[in-house]
Amino acid sequence: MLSLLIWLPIIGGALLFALPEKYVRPGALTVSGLSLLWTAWLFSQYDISNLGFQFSEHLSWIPAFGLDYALGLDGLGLLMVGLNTFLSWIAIYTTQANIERPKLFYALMLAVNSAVSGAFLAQNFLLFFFFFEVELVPLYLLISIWGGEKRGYAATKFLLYTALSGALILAGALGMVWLGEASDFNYETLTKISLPASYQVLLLLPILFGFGIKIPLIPLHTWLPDAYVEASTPVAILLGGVLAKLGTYGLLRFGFSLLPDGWAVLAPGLAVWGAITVVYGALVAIAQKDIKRMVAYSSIGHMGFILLGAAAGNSLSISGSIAQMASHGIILAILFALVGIIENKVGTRELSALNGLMNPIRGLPVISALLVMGGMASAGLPGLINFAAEFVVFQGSFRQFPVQTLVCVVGTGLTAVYFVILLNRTCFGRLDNEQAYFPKVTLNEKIPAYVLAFAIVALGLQPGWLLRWGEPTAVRIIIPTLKTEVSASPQHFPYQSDTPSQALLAKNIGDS
Amino acid sequence: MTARAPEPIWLVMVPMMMMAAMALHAPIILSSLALLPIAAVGAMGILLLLSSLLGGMGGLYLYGMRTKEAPEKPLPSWLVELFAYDFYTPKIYKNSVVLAVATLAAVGDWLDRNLIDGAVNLIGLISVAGGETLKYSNTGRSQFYVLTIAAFVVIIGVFMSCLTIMGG
Repeated sequence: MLSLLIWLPIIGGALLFALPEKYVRPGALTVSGLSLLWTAWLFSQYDISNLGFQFSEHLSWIPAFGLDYALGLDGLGLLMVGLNTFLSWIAIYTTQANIERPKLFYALMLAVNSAVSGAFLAQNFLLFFFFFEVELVPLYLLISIWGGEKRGYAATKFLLYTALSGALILAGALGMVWLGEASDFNYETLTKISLPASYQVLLLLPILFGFGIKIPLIPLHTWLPDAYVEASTPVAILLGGVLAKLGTYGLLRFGFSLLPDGWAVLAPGLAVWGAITVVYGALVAIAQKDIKRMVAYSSIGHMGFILLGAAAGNSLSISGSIAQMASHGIILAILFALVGIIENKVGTRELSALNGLMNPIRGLPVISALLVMGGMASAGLPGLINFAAEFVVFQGSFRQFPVQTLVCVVGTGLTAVYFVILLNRTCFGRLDNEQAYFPKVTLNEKIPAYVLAFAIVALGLQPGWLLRWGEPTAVRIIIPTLKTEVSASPQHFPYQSDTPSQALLAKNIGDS
Repeated sequence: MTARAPEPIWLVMVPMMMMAAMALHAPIILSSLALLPIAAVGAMGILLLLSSLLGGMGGLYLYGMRTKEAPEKPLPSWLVELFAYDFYTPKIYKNSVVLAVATLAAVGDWLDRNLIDGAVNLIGLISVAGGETLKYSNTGRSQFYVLTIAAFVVIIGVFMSCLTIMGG
């Protein structure tokens, strides 16, 4: 069942080479659309009251390495797979119709879709690592062939940084298996490893730095602005919307879940790191003159909130982190889509050159209006998706780390600063009528932005629809950190109508 | 907020002030017409009365009785400008908060581009330069390569022997 999400895009991408060129884009949209529909079906079949992994598949692959083809889905994985398939479809839709070498492009996009799904579904660390590394290859090609002026530099930097991150996380996992004397790399086996806190801290360091490069966290982030700016719009949507979440997913799945004592020791430092990332990302974004680079730094800032929530380590903050991962992905996708349209129609991304795009007669009023909405969503305006996620993160983290949370709240304010700068300069003001002969924005170009805007508003008005999926995972992964006996109270499920009974929680705690 | 507030003409100001005064004095008016219990006036009522009296007397003095001495400038110019420019709040804000954030942002951007990215690019440069140096150090003669390989095999052999001896 889950294997379909991995193999359908790969096989579909390979079949694209056999199609005539005019059917390649509809073919790619069909394949990614089928993946999306399959994910929607998985959402409908998922049992929220079951805290464990569902739809499991297990095949022994290379027993000598401890590598098994093991797939499974919990709330966190489901949300991330949903984000991946949704944004893949959006990214493919956003691709320009006259792109060069379309077969290769769409095949690579579907390969990324497949690899990322595989990483989110993997229940064996080596399998996760395999998909984690595999997705680098199509992405490197996507950036270096279809990118901007400095695409070679950006692609190489991205590849080197992420390869290093892979090496670090592999070192951490190998250490975990070796010191814990585990028989294989299956997630279930790894959860049963019991190591002293000092070993856990030691193993957490390469895992933290490895996933920290992927997220990215300051000062491991310098690959991001170049990669996001030089990548074309659909690739930037995938990079920012989905790839960055691999880092935070890995941190929660392999860092927090497997090494809880070490995590507890490092948590104050992690919260500080998250706060610094938020403020640094926001401050550097304020100084940017290129709107795409500004959005890239905004992405760095928002990932700091996820680390803060994860550092706090209670079910509320982790629920918020998981929701923030999804909301950040959707908002970044709409921002990159709109910035891409602006660059395409106006011809420039410079803040100094853009002005008055909200002009209803000669400007880009719909795009500007959606940009205002996207910017304000990113700044955490209530009623839009990011507010719910950030608020839950703050609420959960404040009790643990009040100072760091307050610094992050200041960061939210700074987010509003650079978005108001962006909107003030690009959307408002006087449109230069001498220069303003922009090509019309077609409905086809606007559709991805409309779909994303609908998601932002709908999930903002009804945040329970977003938060409910992450909650079971958030409750389950903090169970090893609970020092007391089985007493996880149903109050951990504030966003659902029916709370699981104590018996259900006790059963799940007993199982793990 | 940054522009000097326009001053409406007396035809607007006088009725507006009269009605504002009446609205503020409503509790006292109501109590004097015995529509409210006497306790409703209280301290607030007394304060309102006093402030109205003070304002009225001040206005009467400044605008009514000083006209012969200083017809154009009843109030000192610094006071007039303080009110007109909203207590200089925009300027204070621009020179404190906005300047601080903008400076921090510029410093952060410089650090990011030159220090952090610079360090990474320096490592890349060193790697490339190292590779170029190694490239040019090749002689092309097979004896050199055989010698290099033999030397490293000897070193590895010695190292492994030491390990075995120390382990055994």
